[in-house]
Amino acid sequence: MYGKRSYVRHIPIAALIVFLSLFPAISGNRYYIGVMTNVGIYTIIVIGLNLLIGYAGQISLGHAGFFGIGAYFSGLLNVKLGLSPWITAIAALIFTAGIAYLIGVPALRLRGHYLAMATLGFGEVIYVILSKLDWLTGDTSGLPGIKPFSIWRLRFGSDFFMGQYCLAWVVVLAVLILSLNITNSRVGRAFRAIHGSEIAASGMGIDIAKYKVQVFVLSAVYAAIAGCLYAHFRWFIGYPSFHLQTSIRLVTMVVVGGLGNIWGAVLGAILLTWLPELLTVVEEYDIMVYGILLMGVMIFMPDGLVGIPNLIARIVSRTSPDMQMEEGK
Amino acid sequence: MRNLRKEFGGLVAVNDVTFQVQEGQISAIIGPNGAGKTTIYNLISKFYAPTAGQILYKQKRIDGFAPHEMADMGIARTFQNLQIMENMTVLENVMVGCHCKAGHGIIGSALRLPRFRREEKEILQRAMEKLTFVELESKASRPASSLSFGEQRMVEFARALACEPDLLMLDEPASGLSIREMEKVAELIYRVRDEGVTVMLIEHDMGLVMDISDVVTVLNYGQKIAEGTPREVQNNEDVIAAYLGNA
Repeated sequence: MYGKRSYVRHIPIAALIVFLSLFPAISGNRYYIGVMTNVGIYTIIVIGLNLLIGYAGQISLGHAGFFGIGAYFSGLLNVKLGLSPWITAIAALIFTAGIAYLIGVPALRLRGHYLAMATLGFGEVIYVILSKLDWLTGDTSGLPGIKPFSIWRLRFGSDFFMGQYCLAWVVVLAVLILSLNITNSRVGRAFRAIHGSEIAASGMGIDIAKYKVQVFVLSAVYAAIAGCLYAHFRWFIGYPSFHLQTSIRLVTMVVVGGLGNIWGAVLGAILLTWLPELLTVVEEYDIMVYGILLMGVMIFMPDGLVGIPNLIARIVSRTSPDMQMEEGK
Repeated sequence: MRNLRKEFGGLVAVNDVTFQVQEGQISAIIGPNGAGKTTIYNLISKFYAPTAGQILYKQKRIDGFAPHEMADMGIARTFQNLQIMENMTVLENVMVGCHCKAGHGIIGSALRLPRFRREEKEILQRAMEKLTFVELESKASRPASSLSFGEQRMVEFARALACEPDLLMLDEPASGLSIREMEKVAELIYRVRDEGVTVMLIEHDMGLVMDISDVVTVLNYGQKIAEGTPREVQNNEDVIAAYLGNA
């Protein structure tokens, strides 16, 4: 990682761009492109969650709440005040950051199970609030009438599915690059140091509370970005999209993809968004499947999808007779 | 520190301890297990707040500060039971030590601003320097958890040095080490001292303590029972009684 020539570093990103460029041509199907757009939206949240859970070692079981706050705030400002989606999105990010800060400062004093419970509670509170908003939205099941993004005369509405695909993934790439930069810096090391040993981290001058709140707010803002994209890609958003189930799906994506590695977020989001599409049994029993996946990954491959190459290398070296002799030395 | 006292509930861990550490010297704190030595370190590091008494550093009171502010003030420490970040490589562990020397934050890192680039280069350089100082530069990219116990102690040493402290507090740096590793530790402490760093040492290995310390302070049951040069302390009756009495 350190001292590597810069072109090696850029390979995964280049590969992703190539894949994304070829995908629409290969699938040729409006529906599949739509699924991939959703993959992009979830990837943004999962990157942020990975920073929080995988790098800094904290937990959030309520991140659908920030996803929902971003979507509803931007959507409401757009519908009620007629402001441009770009403006309402920025407002939503600021608003979500503020909420995340207010929740984060007290909540992040908690550890482990208590923090998990607090974030769970937060997610539930947001869900209930959103479900009771019909006096504001005029519709019992959600918010209708949301306008799409536009750049000059180009409208990124639901008919312009290629535009939505590109816009979503451009945002994902920007978030990805920014996050990779953060992780390869003293800030990223501070997050991981907190995960590794809070005592040593504070001994080395890292303000634990400050960094925990920072990563929490950052991950909430990522979720809000995704929420804005989600809202303005549709005409209507409904509160069931921001249920606890979504929070669990997101955490599963982080874990299955691979903790502590940003690329794990991409892989996890791809796998778990496509799985229900490809296997209907997954769609019907999705919570059960996610539970099994979570347990399985934690027990058998805790490094997630990202760790598969290492896992294979280890299995191969263990079964190879030459290596066994070397280890015996 | 003056009249330092620390109580945990009904247990008085540190009772009215006063002593001074001279700049540029190697000072050792010794005493039987449970005498309060690590508690004193934790009071200096601000992990605990004193029940009474004061801690002064460079003529100023520092008892009110937070733990993470100590590194900025020039105080770095190692830990008795090793607090290595096992989720990071050896080099990254030492780079964490350089944290207090840089200032770029999330925005600077995300956008790779000039300050970030400059500071990251310096951090990398300084970390490799300290790793080379403890002769572990060849293991820089290994996961920290894969090193031997003695090597991990060296990594923690290098990490503490990366803060470029004025005061280095070592907590049992020799415990669990072989004779050869201990000699290396002694040599490193001398070299660090020669570079102008004041060293404090908690240690059970009497050989090491008596060899390298300029001043030795002895604690027993939270109280200071002796202080002086190694030779004076060795011949002190209270000290001998404390160690033999607690066998």
